[in-house]
Amino acid sequence: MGHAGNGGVRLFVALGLVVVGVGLFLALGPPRLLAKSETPDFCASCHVMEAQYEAWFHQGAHKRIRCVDCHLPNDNMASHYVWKSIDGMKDVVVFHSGQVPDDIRISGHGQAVVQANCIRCHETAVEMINQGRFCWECHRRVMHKQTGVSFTR
Amino acid sequence: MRGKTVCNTVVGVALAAFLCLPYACSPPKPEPVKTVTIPDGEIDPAVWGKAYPEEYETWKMTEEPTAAGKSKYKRGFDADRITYDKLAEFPYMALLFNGWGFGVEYNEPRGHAYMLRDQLEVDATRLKAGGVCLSCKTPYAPLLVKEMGVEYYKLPFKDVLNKIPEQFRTLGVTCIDCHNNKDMGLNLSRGFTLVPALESMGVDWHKLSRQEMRTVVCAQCHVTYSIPKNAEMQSVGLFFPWQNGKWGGITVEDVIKKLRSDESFKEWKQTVTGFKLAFIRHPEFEFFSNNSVHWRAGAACADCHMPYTKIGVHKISDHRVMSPLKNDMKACIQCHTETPDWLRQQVIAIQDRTASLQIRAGNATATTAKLFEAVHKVRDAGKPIDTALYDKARDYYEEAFYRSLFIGAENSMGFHNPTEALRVLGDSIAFAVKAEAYLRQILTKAGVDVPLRVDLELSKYLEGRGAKKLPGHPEMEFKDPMGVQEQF
Repeated sequence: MGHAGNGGVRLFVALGLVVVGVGLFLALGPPRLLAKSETPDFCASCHVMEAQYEAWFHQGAHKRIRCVDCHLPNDNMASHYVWKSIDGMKDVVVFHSGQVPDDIRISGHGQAVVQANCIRCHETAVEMINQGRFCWECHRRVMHKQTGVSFTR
Repeated sequence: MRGKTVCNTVVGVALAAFLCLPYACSPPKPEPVKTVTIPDGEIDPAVWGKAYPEEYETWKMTEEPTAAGKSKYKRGFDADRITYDKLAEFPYMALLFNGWGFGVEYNEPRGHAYMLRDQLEVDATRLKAGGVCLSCKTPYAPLLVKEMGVEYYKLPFKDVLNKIPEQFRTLGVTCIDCHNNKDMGLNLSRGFTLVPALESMGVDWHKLSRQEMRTVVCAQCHVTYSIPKNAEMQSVGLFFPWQNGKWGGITVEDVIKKLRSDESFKEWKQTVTGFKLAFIRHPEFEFFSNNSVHWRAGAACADCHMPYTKIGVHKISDHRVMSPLKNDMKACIQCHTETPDWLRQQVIAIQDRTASLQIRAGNATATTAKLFEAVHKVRDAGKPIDTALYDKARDYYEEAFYRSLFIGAENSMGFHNPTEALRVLGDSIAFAVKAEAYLRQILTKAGVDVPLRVDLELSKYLEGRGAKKLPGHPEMEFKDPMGVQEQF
């Protein structure tokens, strides 16, 4: 039995439930904060992402899908939210400590996540070819840097 | 009480796990259904084609030409069905190669499907080397080498060809030459040529990355090779002269040094000069991998010549191996954002410049050869000639000849490595004109007057060649696109 006694435990549990309830309300209820955090506008709220956001915004077919559709694992929900937390916290720390490099490059794990997402949507098209090679080594205009490169006449 | 708490906790955790686990599992990865197993050692491409019909269909399409006019320099397998005689396109070659098969009939090639059939249709002097000529043309080559040993190389071509089962006697290279039947991974079938050549440079092919293998399987055949001869001029082997080179740096200098190092590598006698010489054939791999910009960018042969293409629902490597020019630059626009017309113009510009220097180098070398003919006449008439000058001229002549041959035999007209093409041709010209100068000096000293322009007598080498009495084709000749050669 805890030092607070029966009544203390009940109070603790009740407060906990209220906090969880408020959290769930904010995340999944009318404020829809969880859904909002999945949107490109949310990712672009850090100004260092402006170039990438604009590149995506002007892009072709991939303009219809969100940052998280490529940059977070989508094979299962647990993995998705675990990596969202890890990457999100890393971004928060790096951004607020002013350590964002001028030339933002994707990490090794990030590349693996993107590759898996390419395959997830384009599965049938690529099932007969080697999937080890990164798709964007040829499909360069899908990347943020080379988007919207003009055709030379 | 404690026991109950523990029990409740365990049940609670188990329940939570049971409820959450579905959200933490991924669906199984979809695998295409395998309906056909390809037996080990299966050569018949139709069996492989049952498992991979799209690749099989595109591989078969190497039998069909594309519309004429898409490639300026690589004609000969177009819908107009005209066979372009390379000796007519570059008449200096008719002089330089006079003395063996290459000087009799040397045509621009057709698609992969025709590789063996082309051998059966060309003048028989091209096949005098023997069964060794089958090494790059039939999937049976590795089996024949294993079975026949040294006899494979020297027995007449037809005798070795007849050892192949009749239904496959016109079959060119097929699935088994590049793939392993279990997982379609890339595999080297030419263990008797490419593997020792790589090992001589310290490269173990098992350690190569998949991307490197996408180049190396082509390097089983798109390389220069040498057929060493015994004392009776019979073929006794087949090897790639890479022993002085390294991965990513097999230079023409490395190849020439190897070829000139041993008398047994001299395969033929050049009529015009009387010299016994080695030879260089289609060195695409050596040329491309020698620090070219696309090699350094990580492009493999398959990236440009077997680009990924959408057939129905699947993306596959296009097994219709051909020039990217004839494929409307589809391979190029994978990475380059410029329009196909823009890219084509760039390619043609590179090829025009290479052709210009190739014509210069070839004609300079042919001129030097003709002067050797004159010097030999003088020597045979009993007049003394300056041996110091002669020896130097001969040394330089061989250096010039092999360089112009290296680029002339390479099938991209310089595109695979533009700056290297121009470098090699420049050196060829340097060696050739120096040798010419020494020979003119020899002739002057012997009292023989040499005209301003040496008459190459090309029609002598072009008319009435071989069993078919092939004529010259002046309309096929490539004139210097830069208009400089006419000044020489």
